[in-house]
Amino acid sequence: MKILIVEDERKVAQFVERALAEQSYTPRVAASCAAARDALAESPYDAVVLDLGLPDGDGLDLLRQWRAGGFNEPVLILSARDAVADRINGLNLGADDYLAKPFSIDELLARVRSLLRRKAGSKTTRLEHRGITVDLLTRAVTYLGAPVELTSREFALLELFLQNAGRVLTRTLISERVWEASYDMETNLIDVYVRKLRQKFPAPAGGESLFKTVRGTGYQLA
Amino acid sequence: MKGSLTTRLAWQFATLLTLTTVVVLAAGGWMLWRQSVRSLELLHEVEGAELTELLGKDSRLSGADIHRLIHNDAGSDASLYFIQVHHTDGTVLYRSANMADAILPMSLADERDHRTTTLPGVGDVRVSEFHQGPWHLQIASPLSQISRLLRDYAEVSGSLVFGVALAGVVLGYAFGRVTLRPVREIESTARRIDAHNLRERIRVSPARDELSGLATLLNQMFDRLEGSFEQVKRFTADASHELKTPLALIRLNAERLRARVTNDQEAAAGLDDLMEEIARMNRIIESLLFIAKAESGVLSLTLSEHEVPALLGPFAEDARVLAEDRGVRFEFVRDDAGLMRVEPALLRQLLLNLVGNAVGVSAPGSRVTLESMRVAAGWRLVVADEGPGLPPEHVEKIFERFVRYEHAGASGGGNGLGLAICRSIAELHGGRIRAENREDVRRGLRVIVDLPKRPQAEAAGG
Repeated sequence: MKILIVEDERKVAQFVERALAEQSYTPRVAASCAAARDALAESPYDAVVLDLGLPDGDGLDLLRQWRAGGFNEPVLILSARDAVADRINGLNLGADDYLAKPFSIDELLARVRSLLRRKAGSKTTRLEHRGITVDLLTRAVTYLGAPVELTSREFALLELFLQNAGRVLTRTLISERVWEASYDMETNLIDVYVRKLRQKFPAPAGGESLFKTVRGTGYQLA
Repeated sequence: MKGSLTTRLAWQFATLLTLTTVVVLAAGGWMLWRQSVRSLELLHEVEGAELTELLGKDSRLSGADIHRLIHNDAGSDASLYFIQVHHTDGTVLYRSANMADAILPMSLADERDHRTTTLPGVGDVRVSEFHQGPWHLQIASPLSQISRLLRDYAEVSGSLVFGVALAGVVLGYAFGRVTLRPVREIESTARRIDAHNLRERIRVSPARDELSGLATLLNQMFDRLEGSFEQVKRFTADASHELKTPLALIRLNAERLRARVTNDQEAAAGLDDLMEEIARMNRIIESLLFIAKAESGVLSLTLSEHEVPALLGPFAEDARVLAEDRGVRFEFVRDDAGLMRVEPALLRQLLLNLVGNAVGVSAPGSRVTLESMRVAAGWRLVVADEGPGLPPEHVEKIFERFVRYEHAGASGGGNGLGLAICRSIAELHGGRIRAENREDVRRGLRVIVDLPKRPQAEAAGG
C-alpha cells in the first residue's frame, strides 16, 4: 500500500512517514504542491495524507485539481487551520476524512486504516468483542449472552469502540463520530457516556474495565 | 425609507410646481385686469378730450345747452359711457340718460383722476374725471365685462392649477424614482456586500457628480473593510498554523516517548499530563480563534431552518445524562414546536456549555431546567439552575473572555472561554445572551438566549 504524505513541516512529515512505515505501508513525502503533483504523476498511490498550508499553494486547490482530474483514491486532510470552516470545505471538495493538528499518531493510523478498509469495501453487519455482540442491522446488543438496552448515543459510541477494538480513540475522534461536533467539547460528556457503557458492560469480576482510559488522549476498548 | 423619500420628493415637486403655477396665473390675472382697466381709461381720456373740445370754455352754457351739444355731436358716446358734467361750483349740468337716477360721486382731487366706484343698479364702474376750464367732466364705464373676463380667466386658471397639481404628483414621483435610482443601486449593492461577498463594488457612474463621489467614497470604505477582513482571516489562519504546528510536534514526541516508558510510572504520568495540557492548550487556541473570528465578523455561518423539537431532542438526552452523572435533575420544561434558523452544531455547543456550567454549580438533588419558547421576535432559550447565583456586579461580566468566578466556572475545569463562546455563537445568529439571578426560587442563575427569526443583517435586507 503506497501512501503519499504531502506535508512541508519536515519533522511532522518524518513522524508520519516513520509511523506508516512501521505499519508496513510504503510512504513517500512530498514537501510542496509541485512535488506532490510530480509524485502522483509518476506512480499511483493508494491514499494521500494532505496538509493544507503548503509553501507554494493551498492543499485544497491541489485536492480540487486531483478530484477534477479523476483521482479517486482516499485523501485524509491534515491541517493546522481552524477546523470549523476548513473541515467542511475540505470534505465538500472531496476529502474522505479530516484530522486537525495537533493529532495523535495512533489516530492518524486508525483513520488511514479505516479509509483503506472502506476503499476495500469490507462491510460487516455484526460486531463482536469480549462477549459484546452488536447487530448493526437490528441494533440488538448482547453482553455475555444477555440483551442490553442502549440509547442511540450509547449505541453509536459502542459501535465506534467495537469497530476500533484495541485501538486508542481520541476525544476528538469520538466527538466527531458520535456527536458530529467538529470541535472538542469542554464538558465531560464523553467521560459520562463511557462511564455509562462501563456500567452496562461491567468487567468480569476482579478484571479491569473493558473501556480503558488513556490519559491525555482518550479511550480504548481493551 | 427609500419609498418615503421618493414620495416626499414627489410631494415637494408637486407643491412647488403648483405654487409656481398659481403665482404665475395670479400675476397674469392681475396684469389682465390692469390692462383692461387701463384700456378703459384710455378710451375715457379720448372721450374726455372730445367732450372738452365740444363744450368749449364758455362757463355760461346751461344744462340744456350741454344736453343739446352732446346729443347732437356725441349721442352715441352718451349711450356708450356714463357721462356726468357739472360746474366747478358743484351744480350738475348733465347726466347721460343711461344713468337713470344714479349719481357719480365727485372726486375731491383737482387733477385728472381714475377710480372705481359702485353705481346703484349698475354695479362697479370705472370713473375717469377731467377738470377742464369751468367743467368737471366725469366719464364712467361698467366693469362687468372685465369682471366676467376675469371670472373666466379664474375658472380656466383653477382647472389649470388642478391639472398641474396632478401632473406634478405624477411627474414628481417619476422624477423621484429616476433621481433616486443611483441611490437605490448604491443601497442594494452595499447591502449585498457582507462577510460572504466583499469583492463586489458599487458601480461608479462616469458623470463626476455628488453620487459618484459618494459611491467612490463607499467603495474606498469597502476596500478598507475587505483589507481588514482579509487581515483577520490571514492572521487567524497564520496564528492557527504557527501555534498548532509546534503543538503537533510536541504531541507526537510525547506520544512516542510515552510508548517507550510504560515501565516508568513517573515518566508515564508526566507525559500523560503533558498530553492533557496540549489538548487543553489546543482547545484554548481554537476557542480564541473562534471568538476572534466571530467578533470581527469574518466567520460566516450557513444558517438553515430546523424543526425545533427534533433539533433539541438529542441535546436534551445528552444534557440529562450529563446532569444525572452529577446527581442533578435535568428537566426540559418547555419545548415549543416551530422552526428555528440556526447552525445546529453551534447551537448545541452553546446549550451544552450553558447546561455544563449549570450542572457544574448545582448541588446533587437540585434541578437544572431548559425552556425553549417561541416568542414574537423568534426563539428564547432559557437555562436555569438552583446553584448559588452570582454577585450582581458579576452578572454582566461572565460572558467576557477569561472571566471566571468561583460559582460560574463549572467545576474549575473550564478555561474561562466557554461563556464567551456562547456569546459569540448567540451574536453570530444575530441574537443576544444575558444572565440574571433568579427571583422565582431562593437562589440560582438563569441564562437567557434570544435568537431572532432571521438574523438582523438579513432582516434589514428584506
